[in-house]
Amino acid sequence: MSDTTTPASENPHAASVRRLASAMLRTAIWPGVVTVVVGAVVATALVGASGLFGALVGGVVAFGSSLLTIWLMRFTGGMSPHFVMVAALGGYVGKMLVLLVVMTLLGGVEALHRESLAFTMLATVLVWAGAEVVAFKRTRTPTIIPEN
Amino acid sequence: MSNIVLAQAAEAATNINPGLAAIGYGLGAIGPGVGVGLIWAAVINGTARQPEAQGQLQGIAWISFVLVEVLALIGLVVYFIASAG
Repeated sequence: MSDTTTPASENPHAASVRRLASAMLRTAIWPGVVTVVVGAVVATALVGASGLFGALVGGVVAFGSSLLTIWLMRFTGGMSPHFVMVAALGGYVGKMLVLLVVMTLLGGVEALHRESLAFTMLATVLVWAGAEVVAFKRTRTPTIIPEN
Repeated sequence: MSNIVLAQAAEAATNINPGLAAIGYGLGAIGPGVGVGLIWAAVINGTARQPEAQGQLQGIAWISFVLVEVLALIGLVVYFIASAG
């Protein structure tokens, strides 16, 4: 098991996790942007300016949520699985609490169209997750990485 | 008389949608929470058995984490829509 004090540059496991994180980010970011743009255009056409604002805010929230996972992945790349579990569960709980507060506050903003925000956010998150799965399938991670 | 009672009841009725939506979101967050815990418990087990495979196990765990987390985000979006006054 790798030591948590091992520098990331010397840890082959950290390198493989960070390579996967980079591949996931590269693969997912453009489909995510396209989804937000499509959502904004559709919402503007159907609802107007409030739909545009709602879709853009929904896209920003979805991007923030997804990018946090990528950052968490890079940050915990060199750590022992015990600490990664703590970080992942803490990240999950923190993200859900923050998003709950943010969405509740956004629900009170009259200038944002509720459904535009919700559906753009949902579409962006789903497309992002799908693109990450594609990146995962494409990235070759060796099954066994010798310690030395 | 009954009409008056019904009218008074209608006036007293409040919108319980936000509360129900919040309860639904809380219930919806339980499953992904259990899922995330199981994923990383499996990674700890797997790494203890085969430390050389740590990198691949963590990669699999992160992509599973993303997919499980999407479920909670869907619950959040449903909460957001359903909590409309």
